[in-house]
Amino acid sequence: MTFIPAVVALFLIVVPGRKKTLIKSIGLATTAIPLLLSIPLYLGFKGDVADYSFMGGVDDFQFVVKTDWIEAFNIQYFMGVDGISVTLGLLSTLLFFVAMLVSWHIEEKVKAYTCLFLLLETGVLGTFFALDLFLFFVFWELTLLPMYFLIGIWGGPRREYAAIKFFLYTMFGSVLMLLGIITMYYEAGQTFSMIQMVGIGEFEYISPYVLYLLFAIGFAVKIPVFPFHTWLPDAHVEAPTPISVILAGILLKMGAYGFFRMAFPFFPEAAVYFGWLLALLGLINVIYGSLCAMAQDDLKKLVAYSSIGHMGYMLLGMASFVEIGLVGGHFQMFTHGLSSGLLFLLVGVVYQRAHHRDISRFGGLASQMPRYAAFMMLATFAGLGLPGLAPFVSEALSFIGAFFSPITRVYAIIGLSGILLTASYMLWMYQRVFFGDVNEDNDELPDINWREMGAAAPLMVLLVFLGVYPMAYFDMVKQSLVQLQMLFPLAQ
Amino acid sequence: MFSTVQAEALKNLEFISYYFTELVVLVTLGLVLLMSFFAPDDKKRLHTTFITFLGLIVAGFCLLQSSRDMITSQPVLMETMFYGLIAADPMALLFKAIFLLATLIVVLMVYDSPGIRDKRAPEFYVFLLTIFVGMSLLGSGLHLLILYLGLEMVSLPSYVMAGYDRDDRGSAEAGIKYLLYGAVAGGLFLYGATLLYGVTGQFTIGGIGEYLSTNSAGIGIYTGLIFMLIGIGYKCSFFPMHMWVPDVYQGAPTAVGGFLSTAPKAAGLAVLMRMSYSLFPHLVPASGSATLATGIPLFFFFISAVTMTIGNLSALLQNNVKRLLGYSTIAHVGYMLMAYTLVGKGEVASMTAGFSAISFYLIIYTFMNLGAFLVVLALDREWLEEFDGMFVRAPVPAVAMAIFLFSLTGLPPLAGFVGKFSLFSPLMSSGGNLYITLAFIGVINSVISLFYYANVLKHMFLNAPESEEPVAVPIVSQAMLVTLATAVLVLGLMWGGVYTYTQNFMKAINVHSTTPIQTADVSGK
Repeated sequence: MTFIPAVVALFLIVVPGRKKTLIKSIGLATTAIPLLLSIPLYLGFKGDVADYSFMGGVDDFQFVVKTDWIEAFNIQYFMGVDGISVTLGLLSTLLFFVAMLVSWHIEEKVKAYTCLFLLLETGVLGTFFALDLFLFFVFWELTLLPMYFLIGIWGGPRREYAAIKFFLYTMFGSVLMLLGIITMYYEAGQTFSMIQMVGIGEFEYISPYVLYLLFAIGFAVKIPVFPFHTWLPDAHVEAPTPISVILAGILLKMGAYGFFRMAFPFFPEAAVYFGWLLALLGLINVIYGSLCAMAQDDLKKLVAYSSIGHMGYMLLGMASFVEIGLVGGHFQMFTHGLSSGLLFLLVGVVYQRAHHRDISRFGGLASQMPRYAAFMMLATFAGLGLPGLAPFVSEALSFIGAFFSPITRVYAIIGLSGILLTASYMLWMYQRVFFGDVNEDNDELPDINWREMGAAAPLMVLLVFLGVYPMAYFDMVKQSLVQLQMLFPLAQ
Repeated sequence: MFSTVQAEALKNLEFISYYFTELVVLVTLGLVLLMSFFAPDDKKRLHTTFITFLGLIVAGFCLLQSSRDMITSQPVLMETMFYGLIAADPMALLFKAIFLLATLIVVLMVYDSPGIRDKRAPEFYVFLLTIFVGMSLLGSGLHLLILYLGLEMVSLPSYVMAGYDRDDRGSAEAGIKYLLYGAVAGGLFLYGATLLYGVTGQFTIGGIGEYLSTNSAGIGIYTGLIFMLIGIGYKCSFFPMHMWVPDVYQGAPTAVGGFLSTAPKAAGLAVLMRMSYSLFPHLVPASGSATLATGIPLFFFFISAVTMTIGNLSALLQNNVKRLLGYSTIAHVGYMLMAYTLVGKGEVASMTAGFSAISFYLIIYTFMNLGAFLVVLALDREWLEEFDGMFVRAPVPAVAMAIFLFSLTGLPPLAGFVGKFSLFSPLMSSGGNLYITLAFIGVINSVISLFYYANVLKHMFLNAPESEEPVAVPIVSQAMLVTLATAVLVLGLMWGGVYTYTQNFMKAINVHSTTPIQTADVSGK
């Protein structure tokens, strides 16, 4: 069942002791539990529920847990998954496990670190699985606190600035969303159930267009969409490696998930109405993010800006509001989670050894760290969307979707140049770091070790597997997205 | 002749059981006073604290008993005592419970409070208990003079308490400042009450309401109301009567600052609510003119918006944590006034919705704000730099502080979030653009407040300590911190029960004296 977060929370309370390795091991074991539990979730999930209908009630969702929580406000503890959330849940459990493996080098305040880390996992999983809007918001905000401290205490030199910036930006977005949530409670007839919020005909209190914007801004800050993106490079650069992995791999997806789960189905008319805006901002994300990435000398910053660019592809796919674009956008979430997680992980590996991330101070690393170079090559190719790897499929589908839709066609044509930009900065980065003259400062760098390879391996396997056989993913999400697409009033 | 008088007198004492709480507190007060003479010097503090604590617990039981009666009685009991001077209604009980809670916590805070413990703790308890009785009068008074009595009974001991640490210049300054502001505000309140009496010929809140239901309000009524609002505003510290707050909180002993920031605010808001409940339904529609129907909501909109914005913006630049908490108190009063703004609609239903949200928030606010002050007290330092690295030096207060401050910011799953949630929800459901705009201002203010709260936490968690040496924290404070932090957490998750209770208690507010009083009798006293 979907009690994974509760299990984690329980473990969080009983994390004992002062022995660092022991605590880390417990942390690893704890993250392993949701990972293991996600196997029956994956196997038990039926992607092709025949009588699936978005407005049909609880039946659409699987692994449902539902009990009353606060009766005065008709708030329920209501969890469940459908195609939109299940893959993200799986991705989270995997990335948290991987990130805990990468956390091994953390030596300071290990207990607090592990506690916050597990709390973050609870928040993230809860966000994806909650079907009660109030519950969702609690989990959504629950991810902020641990993140603030994780960046603020264990981060780089400008960590305080980065942490508070991250906190303020996301808080700004989420308070607007809170107003939207409260209004939705009354609009939907005094209930927080997300299912009953789909297909509200008449909005009594606030116009659905305003409500859509309230939700959309909340989610857009998280994705992040231009012009709300400026927290991202700061947060990424300062965050410790495992937290960067989580941030890029999962937290950004929470924003996109919010669009799929809430903003789109609650207000389909408004979503289509503002579709051009979303697409335009997505386009800006692609071009602007890629250009910024090209100008960076800091490896991590480069990957951070590339995340902004990749989220742009996803937005283009989403804003098309056609089935193939939605699937592409959703898949882009997943593949970006894998590829950016992998990139941050690998950047962390070299940072730990060289204690800097300046591209200009590397060079010829391929001869010193041959295995690392190989890993990095695959990650780079995933980042630029080479055919045969999963990101290629998702980017291609997003663009195809965007071409199909009259809303996004123009943006898609311009956006294609982003592919070229991405390829150029990724390859240029690889060239400068791994080829060319050997920088003597880096003579002593040891190659990637087994633990790090173990952490990277599952991500790479998935990237290749889903690149070759993406149907495995589509089977899970397609039905839900088809239902979502049916809500849109589209003039094809 | 005699027997009718006697019967009438007895009838007025029929509901005296609802006054047992105050009576118990008064007895305790006497005992503490006696104790301060007879107890051995070295045990004085322990003994008086114990007696006060015990007295408050007994008072709490009385309160519990009477609320059980009240809840079970159908229809909801709405009676008065003492010839209609004091209400015996659920709202009064609810507010007494809030006052009792705050007083109880402060008594335990004071035990280890450096500014007070060595300087006559027994007297301090006497003042504290007097204030409690005064606040109860404010929470249940139906008569303008009773309200004035309550106001002064709260104010006078507060002046002394603010200046309690006589060797400290800041404390003395705080006392004087508080006195000067308080005297002016009290005078204005009395003047306003006189004006109301002069125009309406009525001294009870219900009587004035009745007058308004048949007569339209003139300039005299509005002037009187505004003067009274100033008097109350000074207690609640909303704009523009907030100027004293930061100075007094910074100078006064920390426990006093904490106390002043919670219970008296609740008392002031209680008066405001009870009066509005009686007056506004008549004031808004009866006025008939469109100017007033939009003017009154705008007036409170302005006060609420400016109060929270001023509080939050001023707090941004503070480097003294006590002063910062003072400004944050102003901001929180502003939040609570948001829900109060609904009186502008003049509808009883939206008013009670707003009022129950305020009282729910007050309960939560008492826990988290007193908690934050308690951390400052327990660590015995007030400048931001002194808090550097407290996470390493004193982990329990540091983690507790994180919980309190994030709760004050309004982040789930902490109690502050559900408090704010309940404040915003009547605004959003009221349907007026004005109220929705106010809610927007409110949430933007929450984001601003995050910055300074997080700044305190930055010092405690992220900055390196000047020394690794652990800071000793008194065991009583330690235990209190854990209790309060747990309460904030639990209330954040399991708030349904408390919320339903406050809603039930605020469903109907008594404003009408059952026994009409000849106005001449009272004014002749």
